[in-house]
Amino acid sequence: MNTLSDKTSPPQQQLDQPSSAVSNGVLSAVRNASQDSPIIVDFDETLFLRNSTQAYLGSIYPRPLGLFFLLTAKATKPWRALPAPFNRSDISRDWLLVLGATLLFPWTLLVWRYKAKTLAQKYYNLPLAQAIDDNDRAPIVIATLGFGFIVNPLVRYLPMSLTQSSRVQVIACRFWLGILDRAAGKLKMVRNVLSEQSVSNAVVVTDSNTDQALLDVAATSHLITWPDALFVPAMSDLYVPLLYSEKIKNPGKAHFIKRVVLGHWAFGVIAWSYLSPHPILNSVSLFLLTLSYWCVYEIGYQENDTIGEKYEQRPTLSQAYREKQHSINLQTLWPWVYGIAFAIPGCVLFAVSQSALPLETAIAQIYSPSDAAILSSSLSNCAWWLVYLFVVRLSFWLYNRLNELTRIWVFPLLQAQRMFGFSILASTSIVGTVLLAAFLISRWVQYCVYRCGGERTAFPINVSCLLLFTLLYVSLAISSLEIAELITGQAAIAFAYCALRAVKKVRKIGPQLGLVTRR
Amino acid sequence: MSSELKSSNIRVGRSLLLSTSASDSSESQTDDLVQKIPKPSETAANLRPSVELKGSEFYVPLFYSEKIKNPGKFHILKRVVLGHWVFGVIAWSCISPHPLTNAFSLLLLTLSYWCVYEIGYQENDDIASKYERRPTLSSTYCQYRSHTNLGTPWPWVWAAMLAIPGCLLFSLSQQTVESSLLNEGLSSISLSMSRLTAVSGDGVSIEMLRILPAWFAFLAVVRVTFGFYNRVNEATRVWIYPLLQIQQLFGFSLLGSTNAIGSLLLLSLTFSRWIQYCVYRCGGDRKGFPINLGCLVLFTLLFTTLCLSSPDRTSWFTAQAVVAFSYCSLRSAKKIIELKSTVGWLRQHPVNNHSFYKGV
Repeated sequence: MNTLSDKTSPPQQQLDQPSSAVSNGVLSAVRNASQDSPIIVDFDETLFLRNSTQAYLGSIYPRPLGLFFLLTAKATKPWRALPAPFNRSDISRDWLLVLGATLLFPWTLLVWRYKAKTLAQKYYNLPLAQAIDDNDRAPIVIATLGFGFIVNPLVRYLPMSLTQSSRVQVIACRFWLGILDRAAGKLKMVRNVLSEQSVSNAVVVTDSNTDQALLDVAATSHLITWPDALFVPAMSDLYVPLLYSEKIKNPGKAHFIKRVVLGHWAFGVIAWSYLSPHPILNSVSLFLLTLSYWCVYEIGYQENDTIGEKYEQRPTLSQAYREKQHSINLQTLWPWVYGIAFAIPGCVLFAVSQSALPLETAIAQIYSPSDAAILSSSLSNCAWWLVYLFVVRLSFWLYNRLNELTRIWVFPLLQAQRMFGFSILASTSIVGTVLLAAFLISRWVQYCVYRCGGERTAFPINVSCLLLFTLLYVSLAISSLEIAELITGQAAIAFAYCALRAVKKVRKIGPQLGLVTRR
Repeated sequence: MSSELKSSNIRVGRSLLLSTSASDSSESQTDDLVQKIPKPSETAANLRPSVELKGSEFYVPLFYSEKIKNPGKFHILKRVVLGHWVFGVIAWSCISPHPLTNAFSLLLLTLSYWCVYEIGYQENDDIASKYERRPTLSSTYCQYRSHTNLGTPWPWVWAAMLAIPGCLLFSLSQQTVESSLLNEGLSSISLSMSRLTAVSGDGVSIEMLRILPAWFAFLAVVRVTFGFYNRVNEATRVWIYPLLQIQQLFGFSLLGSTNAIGSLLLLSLTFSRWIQYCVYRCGGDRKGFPINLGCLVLFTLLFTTLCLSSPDRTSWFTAQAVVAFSYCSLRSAKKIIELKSTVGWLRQHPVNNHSFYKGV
């Protein structure tokens, strides 16, 4: 989740990886600052290697409600309703969120005081803190656009001897009037406390472009991005189903729509729902089961990234992963909790949708103790699905630990588990199987190309799926199977869906196709 | 050098001189060595006139495939017999009333197919040498090319000669007669044929009238497809290749249909070959994907999924399925053993993620 602060992503105009000389220059300037040169140091992602506001917003309990609050605020953008210049998100967004969170969840203040010590000791900037500690002459000013009631507990627990001394001053935004402070800017906030002469003699250390005005007036200015700084959005460590797949594993690839909905669920709908007595209900159940599957499957995604980073020579890692724009840990029970939570209604609905009875009668049977056919079918579905999820997890776990050459042969197993997973609840038809097999094989072809050192983009999956479906279908049609079994509405839909998916890619590769040209 | 060769009784007149030494050049030699040996050339293409192969002017079925297209690769054994005919035998002969007759007919038809198919091989080599930047040409191509020409009616004549008995035997093998004929051995093929002909002579004639033109039409389509394939660029070939393979493996289905297990087996081999071809055409190392192992995995996968989706699962467990699975396993056994050394767990070569400030 990429919420909520200006400073949750690294600033663009800064030194991304400061050289040793640059950082030594910063530390040396801090150590050698004279008595007349106050050291004005930024707090967020500078002295404290995270964003304090985001950390505070991440402390809202209960966390799912906190996440809901933050996502709602992000979607509705209430700061836009404020008059200019307060309608700018960089001025009022954080203030409104902090205000709202504290008023709606007032116990967050207590939680924050409890968490502050751990956070301060875990994320303080050791080299900078040491350099500040080494200077026993210059006044220290921690100047931040964060909020005083959030920053002060952290400062108190920074493991620096001078934080207890009167030489240190914290300049931060106020709770109720924070919007005014943020609109005024850091330079004005500092000038309210220090004389102009002091400011012009100051050594300023910050990571933020928004402090440019302050940097311009100070005697010694250092704009630096600390390599250990973490740009962690609030609640980013909270498990949200498919968030890792969407934002970290496949950022910008529309993973949920393309892979989960169109590349999994829609295939299941054609293969199973079409045959079901209650197709719509069946497709809803398949959607829930698809989500259940992906909750568990994506645990393997994170594992794959971690192992790839550790052991592979050329790991395929997204920029989001490399920049550590997350702190989600999927190796917890949460993906399983969600997986099971989606699976239970999914399995019940699936059992109802498979019943030949009218829908009302079938639903009534769930609550009827006398006729427990649907209920027992639902329970059986749940049990099988749970076993299936364990097998999926185990297979991906195994896959992640195998070397690249071996993975070629395990990959189709993973794909078969995904595409044919619903068949543990009900069998599909030959046409359905052919469709799923065509998609499975086309994915495998592309994977083989990639693992054998080829260019995988040269081989579009959707075009090959159409080709494979056609080949499989025609060859099975001319074999001794009953032809009527294959010429069905389901086959027409399957073919149309494959064709529809392939159209875009066919157009793309079209210009490359042609006759052989002379050297 | 000349005197050494003379003393070793080597016939220098039929030799090729490959030397990096300027002293071996014709200008600097006065003895008769270089006069008997063709002049050294800069490119392999210029070596053509240096070697003659007796009889190569005549068309010999599969000679081009075996000796020029795939020298040293046991093409006839591996590709024609084991990679085509045997698959046909499992798919068709296993379910034929007269499996041995059927298998023999398929052998003739396989050879008939390859006579026409290999015309495309030569065409492929010629076009590649003309148009491709990095053509995949065998070392023998340059030597033999000028002495072989498959663009004559001879491959077609051979194909027809093989197809006529092939189709006849195939139609005979599809006739259902009394069960004793099912126990036929190789030695009793002629007897069976005579009895079959006697029993269903008219039927066979009618069937021959149907399948022989169909086979010739099939051969023409194969030729046209390969001709088209040879004339399209590499990006297009990726999508034509499976069609060529389907034609090759499913060609017999024009004469008689196979069953679902046979189809799956043939599809597995088709797809497996296609995957390797895609790897190659997309710039990868095709050795990373052994066809036979791919075929086994695909057959297992397709068989299992179709079996599970079938209402009558027991109908899938037949002797033919066992034979198909065993054959795929047997073919991939060598590769599995070879791959055992590369297959395994992820090797531990951790990357150092050092913090910037550790040294400060």
